[in-house]
Order: sequence, then structure tokens, then C-alpha cells
Amino acid sequence: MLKSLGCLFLLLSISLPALAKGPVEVPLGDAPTRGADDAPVTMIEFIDFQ
Amino acid sequence: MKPDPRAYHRNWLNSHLLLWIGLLGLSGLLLSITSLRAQSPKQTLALPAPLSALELQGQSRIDLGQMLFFDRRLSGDGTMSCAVCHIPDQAFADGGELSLAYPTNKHWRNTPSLLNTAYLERFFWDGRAASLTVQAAGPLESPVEMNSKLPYLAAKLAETPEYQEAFQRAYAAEVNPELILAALAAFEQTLSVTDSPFERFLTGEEQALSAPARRGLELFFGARGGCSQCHSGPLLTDQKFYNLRVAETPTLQQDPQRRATRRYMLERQGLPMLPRDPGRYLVSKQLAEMGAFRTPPLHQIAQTGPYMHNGSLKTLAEVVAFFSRGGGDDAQRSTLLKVRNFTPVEQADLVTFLESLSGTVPEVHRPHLPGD
Amino acid sequence: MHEYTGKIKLVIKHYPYRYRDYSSLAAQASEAARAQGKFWEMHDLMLERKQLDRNSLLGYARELGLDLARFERELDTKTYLPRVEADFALARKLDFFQTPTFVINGRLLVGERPIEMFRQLIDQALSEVPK
Repeated sequence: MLKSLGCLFLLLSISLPALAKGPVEVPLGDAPTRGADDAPVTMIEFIDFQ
Repeated sequence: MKPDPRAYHRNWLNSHLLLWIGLLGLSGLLLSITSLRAQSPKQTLALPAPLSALELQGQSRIDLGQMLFFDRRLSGDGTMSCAVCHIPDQAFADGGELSLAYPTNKHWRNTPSLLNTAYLERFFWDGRAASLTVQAAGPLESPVEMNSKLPYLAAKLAETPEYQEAFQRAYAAEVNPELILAALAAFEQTLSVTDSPFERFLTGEEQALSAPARRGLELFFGARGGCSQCHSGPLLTDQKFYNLRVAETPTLQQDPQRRATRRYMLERQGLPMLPRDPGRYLVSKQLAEMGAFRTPPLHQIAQTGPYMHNGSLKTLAEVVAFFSRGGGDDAQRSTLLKVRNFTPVEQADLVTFLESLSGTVPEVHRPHLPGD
Repeated sequence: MHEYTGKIKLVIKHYPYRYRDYSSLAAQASEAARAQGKFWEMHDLMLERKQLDRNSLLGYARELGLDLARFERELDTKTYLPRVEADFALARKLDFFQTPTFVINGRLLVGERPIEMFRQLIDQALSEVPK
């Protein structure tokens, strides 16, 4: 039983797309920030003022 | 076009032997495949032929097309490139319900993915273009998309030495509007995905599909599901037009800018303003095709949501549920739609099958552009 | 963004477009204002007024009560160009091809998208944060 469950998992994982890319890591340096420093979510905006 | 049953049997035998010799510990896998096969004779299903390889243009044309694809010079105000809505990391769609538009304007339809479009013969939701090159001219000149003019764009590129050279290299010619479109098409031809589990299954690799995906496939191509009435052929589309009566969204009906876009598209065809997206009627002016849209190809569909011409269905599960209830609520909808009342397991199997249509998306990066 | 007060931090990186007359100048001006503690004020003014030629930028600096002589000098000697260029190089290295591009806890959002798409990504990010 366990074995066939394992098989199912194996088959499933084969059929799922290997598309999801890892998260993008951006070194923040001393860029200007707004909002709480310890906020759980960081949104980095690459901006062009014009 | 079914795979040769003898080849299929041979493959099966090979894997059978290999598994017993090399992978005794995984006998359970073999058992499950055997039992699956017993339940579902593939021979009864009319499966499409696998996608054939496309003949590509020379590398210098592809490279030029890739430059153009990422270059924001191509839009009227220099803010948008093709890649803004056909985002390489998002399966060349954009993840939004409705397309991004030229600054301050708003779009009225969902962005289709570019993957495998080179195989198509009809482009846009209403099929108004018959080739990749005609398609490419659409967004470039549309006031709600890139809002440029091809002759002006050609002039601009002709005054950019690197482009001048690139066109010479690729076509031994001066920059002109036709070549801009041809180069974009040459690049788009490279955006194919042919290694999805489903494609591998079609070429005889039986194990490529999981048990739920196999069950989903049987529903999809069988009378119970009825999906392949329209989603047929190697691209899983007959490229014809059907009215599913997907509900129009409040934003499309109320937002003045989105309404303006609809009004403009209609007026361009000499038609009066209409209360909803006319679909194929815009092109054919046949009342029977009011609200009918081209059957979309399904490759890589799991990565290209939201779905339908107006992006009103967020997930594949919602799409399957929509078809399970027999489509939208309207007497004029296609008679091919039937209330099918799929069970929850059937719905999940269909979604799993649709997910098996995803393969490796070509990795494309912004190239060096003139002025970098 | 008020609904996410305390939950979100906005970070600005410069990605001035090469073919525009004032993109780089405006980015440098925001840094010059920042040197005097008024980055966000300048940021908001520039996005609101949209005029970004040198004279307009000096006008904003005056309006914000900055030390004008210093602002003008730093702008003209391109004091902050290296900083802006470093951000630019980073954006290129990350393969970004559009402004604005947002990175929300590692997830990309390309272009000026409807607020719902931000909400979705922010909520998703919040739900993934270990409590």
C-alpha cells in the first residue's frame, strides 16, 4: 500500500511542470525605504520617474 | 493519428523488462501501470498527433526578432515592449485578467500566451489575423497597446546604427515595416514547448501521465467530457469560433475606458457600440458569431491564467466547473455545451490532465539593445 | 497601501530608461533630495507634477525648502550618478526589462498592474510568513 502511494506521488511529481522559478533576490543596500523596517513583506520598486 | 499500437506494446514490454531487471523495489509502479492499462484501452480514444518540429529561420533573424521583442522603442511613448504583456517568466502571457494597456488607456481582453502560437493559423481571440506577422502588427499599432506606427518605427530603427546593421545581417536589406514583423515572427517561432508529459505520452512514453491525468485524458477525449469536440488536433484547438457565453465582467461593462476600447474596435469595423464583447462578430459580422471566440490552444495552459477572453475565470478548476455546468447562462450558447455534472473526482482529474500539458518553456532573456 | 500599514516596507531602486531625456537626472535629483532628508517628498512631487527638466527639479527643491545651492551643485556635478548607475546595473543583472518592476518578497510583478494583483501577491506573501 505504502509502495503504491509512493508510486502515485512519483507519477504526480513527474507530471507537474518544472516551471516555478525560485524567488528573485535583490540586495537592498542602503536604498530608500518607506514603512516599518521589520515589516514581513518587502516590496522593491524599480522605478523610472519619467 | 494514433501511435502505432505495436510500438506502444514494444515500449511497454521494454519498460516492463527494465523495471524487473533494474528496479525490483519499484514493482508497485509496474503494477499500477498494468492495472491502469487494463482499465483504459487507449485505442478507443481519438488522440491527436504529437506536435511536429517547426522549421526555424536563421539565427540572425531570430536574434533581431528577440531584440525587437524586448525593445521599448517599439511603443509610441517608449514605455512598452512586447515582453510587457508576453512575459517570458509567465509562459509569455501576463498573469492579469485583462492585458496591460498603453499608459492611460485600458484594454478589453486577456493576453494570450505566445507559446506554440507559431503552429496556429488564426490569431487573437476573434481570429482577426491569419499569420504571425499580421498579428504582430496589431499590438504595435493599436492605440490601447503599443500605439506606434510601423512606418515611423521603421524610420526610427533605420536611424539606429545597430539596428541598421542587424537588418542587413538578417535580411541584407534596409529596415522596413514588413521586415520588422518578419523578424518578430522569426523569434516567436522559437517559443515552442513540445516536451510536456502529454506530448511525451503521445510519442509512446506511457508513464509520462499519472493515473489521475490518464483518467482526465480519457474524459477529455471521450464523449463524457466532450472537450475534444473543439479542443482537437495537435494544438488542442480546432481554431473555430464558439459562443460559451462567458459572463461579461462589471469592469468591462462599466469602466468608461474599457468601454471606449470596445467602442473603438467596433467603430473601426463600421459597427455601432454593443453592450458586450462581440467576439468573432467583429470580424465576420455574422450574427450567429456574436460573442463567439476562437477555441484557445491548451499547451502550457496551467501557467497562463486567468482564463477566457475576459480573464473572468481565475483557475483551471473554475474553467472545468464552468464546462461542467454547461457553460454560461444564455440560450444562444453553442449547442456543443451540455450540462455534464462532472463529479469532484472527474473535475480534479481534468485539471490534472490540463496540468500535464505543461513542458519546458524556452528560457529567453533581454538581449543587449542599442544604446545599452 | 494604508491597509498594509506595518506589514509592508517599500524600497526604491532606480532603473532610469536610457532613451529618455530626464530619467537619469530625475533619479539623481531624488538622491540629492534624500541627502537632505527629503527623498519621499521629492519622489511624490516628481510623480505628481511629471515635469522633470532641470528647472522644474530645482523648483521642487525650493518648494521642499532644501539647501538649493547644495542641491544644484550635486545635480550638476552628478554626485549621485554612480549610485543610480549601480541600481541600473543591478536591474540589468536581474534581467528586468520594464519599469516599473516590483519584487514582492521575491515574486515579480511587471508593469503598472491593477491594485488587485498587488493585493494578491502581498496577501500571498503575508500568508507565507512564519507567525
